[in-house]
Formats: sequence, structure tokens, C-alpha cells
Amino acid sequence: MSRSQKRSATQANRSAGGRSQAKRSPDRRGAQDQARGTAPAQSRRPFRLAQSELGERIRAFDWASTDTGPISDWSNGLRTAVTICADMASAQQAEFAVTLEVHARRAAELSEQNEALRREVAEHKAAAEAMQLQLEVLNNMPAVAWTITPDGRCDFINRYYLETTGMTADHCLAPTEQWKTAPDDLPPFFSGLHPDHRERAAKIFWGGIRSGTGWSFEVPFMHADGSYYWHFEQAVPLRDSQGKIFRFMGTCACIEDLKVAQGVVQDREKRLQEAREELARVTRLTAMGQLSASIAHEINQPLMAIVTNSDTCQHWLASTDPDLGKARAAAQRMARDARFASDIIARIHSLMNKTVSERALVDINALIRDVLDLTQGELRKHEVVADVELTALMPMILGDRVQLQQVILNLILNSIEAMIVVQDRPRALRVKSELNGADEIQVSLHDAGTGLDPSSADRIFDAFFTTKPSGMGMGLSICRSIVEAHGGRICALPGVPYGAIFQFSLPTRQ
Amino acid sequence: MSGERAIVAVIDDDQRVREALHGLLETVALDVELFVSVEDFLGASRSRAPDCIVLDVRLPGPSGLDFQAQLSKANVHTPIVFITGHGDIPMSVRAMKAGAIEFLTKPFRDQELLDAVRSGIERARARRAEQQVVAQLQQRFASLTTREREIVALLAVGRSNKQIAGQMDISEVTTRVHRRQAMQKMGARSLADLVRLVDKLALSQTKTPSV
Repeated sequence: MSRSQKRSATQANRSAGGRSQAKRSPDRRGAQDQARGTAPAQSRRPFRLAQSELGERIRAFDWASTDTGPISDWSNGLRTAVTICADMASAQQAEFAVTLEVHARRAAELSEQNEALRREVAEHKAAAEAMQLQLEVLNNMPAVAWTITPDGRCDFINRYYLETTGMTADHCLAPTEQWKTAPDDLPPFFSGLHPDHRERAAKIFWGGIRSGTGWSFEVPFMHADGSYYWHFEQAVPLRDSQGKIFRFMGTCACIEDLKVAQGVVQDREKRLQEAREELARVTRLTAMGQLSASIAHEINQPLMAIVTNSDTCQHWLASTDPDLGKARAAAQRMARDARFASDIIARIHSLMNKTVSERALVDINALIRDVLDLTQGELRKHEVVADVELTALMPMILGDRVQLQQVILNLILNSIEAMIVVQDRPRALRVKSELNGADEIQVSLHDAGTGLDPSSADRIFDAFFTTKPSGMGMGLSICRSIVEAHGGRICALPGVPYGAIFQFSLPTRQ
Repeated sequence: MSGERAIVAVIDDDQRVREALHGLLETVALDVELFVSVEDFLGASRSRAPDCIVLDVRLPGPSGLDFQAQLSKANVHTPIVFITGHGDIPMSVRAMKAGAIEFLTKPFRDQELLDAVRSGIERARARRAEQQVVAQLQQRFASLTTREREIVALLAVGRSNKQIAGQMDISEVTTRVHRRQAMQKMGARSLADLVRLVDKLALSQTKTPSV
């Protein structure tokens, strides 16, 4: 029951009590009631009102005693008067006793009510103080706090917000009709929001309001200094006892430092990734540089064939008895060889220039053959015979073609280098692809080289670890990072009866 | 070129190059045999040796230069025309010193190769003719008696009939009879002719031709 309701109930009780007494002086009743009715505002102090009521009643009694009529026979009259008086006195006494009792009860009641009211006042005061404290907390806490009505109007915003943004309360709390012209217009307290983020924020804001779920988003918001800072804004619905939303309340905290830190971390990761890719490219170029002589040879071969075929073709055409069939055959060989040369160049081009990682479906066998084509000259130069054993119908893998080529290229060049010093046995390199279970493919390269030094076997994939006088120690480390980035594994095993086996496996496409 | 068509063997591990050379050599009416490697070449069964070998310097297994040395050691003198993708000077010097007809760097002009092959074939023909002469001489020499051979050997080093008779302890008349007999068998028309033939024989004795 509210305070005003309590008050009117007390008044009603009071009126009921007054009515029961007024039965004895009915003529005064109306006046009394009228007096109370006309001055309810002054009847704030129930106890004092009761006293004045009592006085009125005593006066009414006096009036009644003098209203008994004239006395003719004195003695008789006296007796009569005494009797009357006695009667009157006893009646008066009785009535007075009743009245006193009523008033005592009433006084006790009123005192009780008074006490309740005093407690109420104290409670109100405490409540008001608590509210004041809460308001102070809300206004001064180092974060934004606000409430929004279910129709999207801000009806409270704390001082911290006004101070940090430099906005005025009037601006923030403006009535809906002053700012809302379209369904998704944002309330004015959002006016510091970065224009690039308004549309997104409005969508989330109104979405959260309409669904009643509240919202949260990160946006750059303008501070009083005119700069934008990242903020995290979050709102939850407040529901009444019936579960109906009567407000949304929210906070907004500056997360600029966090964003900056995140940005720094992301930036660092991005730069690291770029550096990794650049390093991979450089080692690829180094490997290609190593290959350049043999690649030049590789390209020169088809060029030579083209020139010779062209001469042949011209000869047959210029002959007194032209052999068109042979001329055509020579021309066809020319076209075929030119395509072959351009394929080699395209392959080199992709290995040299590619930096950004791209995933696509890759046929590992085709990839191995491509790299073997590129390294053909190098193998021949060092009298290495490649024994290629590719399992047919291998499942495709999802990966970066160039990176995987680089792995195979590095491993082949490594194997060749390991075999250069070998004189007493054939320099054979066995390249094998096979299925390893249902969801893994495995590629292995078994060379006839000097083998692995057991003391360094576990370090050969580390960056900058090298046993070669001119090595950078990057080749195998890059192989490992590429294979691992593809969800695979790479390892080196001692070969039987000699040499080393480098083996990597990659998951097939799920 | 007379008689049967010359045979040219091409040894190159690049299929494209082999086919191109085949086409080119065909235009000048040569029989062409193609081989991937030295082993392939050596393993082939043949009724007739090639007149010229077109040889890639860089090959799987033994290189072209190794093969040249190997042939030379085996006293096989088939003319060789080297072709290479990236020949350097030491390489070409070595090849030419070892008797190569030509050292061509790919891509070369068709005529360069055809000229080189032609001169190789001619050299082979000449050598073969020479060998036939020597073989005939050897046959003739073999028909001499021991005494006739001794007299021929002494004539060749410039001894007179008288000196020979003295040295062999026979009469001068007998010496003259043997000498006439030997010159007849050898087909020498004069003493100078006989000396030349004996020189040729002596030279051929140091190496045994096998091709």
C-alpha cells in the first residue's frame, strides 16, 4: 500500500469513530463532518484533531444540560433538579466514561499509527538516501550507464557519459518525436557513433529492442576531444513482475586499449605470416636459382627441337618434290614442343612469383610429376636415376599447390645433394606415393646418399640447422611448416640398406 | 656418296630432340637410328656399324665425352658429332682433341649439323677404304714365307741385296729371287712402293682396327 493510500484509510477510520459519537448530538454532526470535509489538508496530525473533537463534544454536553426546561417548585424542584443533576451526572459520568474509553482507545490507535508513520518516514528517508547514493554511483562510476524505454527512448543517462562525450542531458533524453523519423533511427545519445558503424549499430540496437533480448556491439564512439574510441556497448531488458519489459538498461565501456592490443597482436601475426611466406618464396627462389642451369637446359631442349623441326619442315616444303606429310609432321612436333616449353616456363613462373597461400584440390601424383620434370636436368647432371612409383587413383587433397611443390622440390634437391659424394653405388632416388589408411596419403623419397647422422636426426627440421657448408638451414624447416600447415606430418628415417627416407603424409579431403 | 645409304646414330635422352634430329637427317636421305643412352646404343644388335654418331654431351649414365673416350680406348673410330645444351670451352676442347668432327651448341642451324654429319660419314668411308687396303696388305703379308718376310723387313729399313745376303748368310742371287717373289705377293711395283706398303702395315700393327 502506498503512502497516500495508507493515509486515506486512517482518515476513513477517523470519520467512522466521529460518526458513532455524534449520535448524541445529531445537530452538530453535519457541522462536524462539514468542518472535516472542508479542511482535510489540515488534518495531517491525527492526535491534535482528536483533542479538538473531544472539546467539541464536552461543549455539546453542556448545551444538553441547560436544555432541560424551567424549574417551578424550588424544593421539589431542587430535588427534581438534584435528581436530574444526579441523573444527569450519572448519565454524564457514564457517557464520559464511555467517551474516555473510546478516546483512550483512539489515542492508542493513533499513537500506533503515528509510530508506523514515523517508521515509514525514516524508511523513506533511508530509501531516499540509498537512491541518492545509487544515483551518485551511477553518475560517477567510470563507465556509461543508461536506461531506455521499450520504445527506444533514453530516459536516463549518467554523468560519466555526458562528461566523456561532451553531450548534454537534454540532447540525450530528447523525446522520441524529436529524433525518430524512420523506424531505424538511432536515439540522439548515439550521435557520437562513428558514421561507418551507424547502420550496423542501428540494426543491432533496434533488433535487440524489438526482440526484447537486449544487444551488444563494439563501435567507435566520439569522445569530447573529438577522437573516436572503441566502445563495447551492452544492454539487457528489465522486466516487471508480469515479465513485461519496462526498460532496457545498459552500459558502455571504452575498449580502445584492448582493441589496440588486439590490433597489435593481429598486425604482428599478419606480419609474421607475411615474413613466413616471403621466406618460403626466397628459399623457393634459392632452390630455383640452384636449378636455373638445369632449367635453362630443360627449356633449351624443346627450343632446339623446335628450331630443327622448323628447318626440317622448310626443307620438305622447299624440295622440288615437296613431302607434305613429313612437313606437317615436323610442324606438329614444333607445336607440341613449344607447348612443352611454355608449360615449363609457367611452372617456374608460378614457383617464383607466388606469395599468397591458396587452397585448392590437388592431385599429389601430378604434382610430383611436375616437380620431377623441373628437376630432370638436375637429376641428370648428378647422374641420379629417379625411380618413380606412384599409386594410381590417389584421393585428392586440399592444399596449396605451389607450397606442396616446394616441399617435394626441397626434398628432391636435398636427396640429390646427399648423393653427390656417393661413388660406389648407383645414385638412385625412389619417389613413392601411397595411401596410408583411408584418410591419409603418404609421399616418401628414399635416396642412396650418405644417410642421416643419428646425433642430429631430430634437429634436421629445425630452422637454421644445416650440415651443408653453403646451406641456410631453411629447406627442411620450411617443408615442415608447409606440411604441418596442411595438417600433415613429416619425418626422416634411416634408409635400408643405405641412404635416408624423407616421408610426409597429408590428410585427404574429408 | 656411293653404294648403300649411310647410317647415323643419334644418342640423346630427350625424345623431342631425337625426333627432331630424325626428321632433319631424313631430309638428306640418311638412315637414322635413335638411342636414349650409351647403354641403349651398345645393347642394340646391328648388321652394320653407323657411319656417324650424333651424341649428346649430357646423358644419363656415362656422358657423351666418357663414351667417346671409351670408344677410342676400344680402337673404335666412328666419327662423332657432339651436340650440347650448354657446352663450355674446356668441354669442346676435350671433345675436339679426342677426334670429334664437330661440337655444336643447341640450338644450331640445320646446315651446321648436316655438314658435320656429312663430313663424319666421309671420314668413316675413307677410314673404311683404308682399312680394306690394310686388310688386303695383311693378307698378302701373311702369304709370305718366313724368309721372304725377313728380306722385306730388311729392304724396308734400306738394306741393299748384298747387305741382306751377307746378313742372312745366303747368296745374293737367292736374295734377289726371294725379293722378287715377295714384291710380287705384296703387289709392290717398285722398292719405294714396297717400303710404303710395309710402313702402312707397321702402322696398322700398332692398333687393331675392329670396326
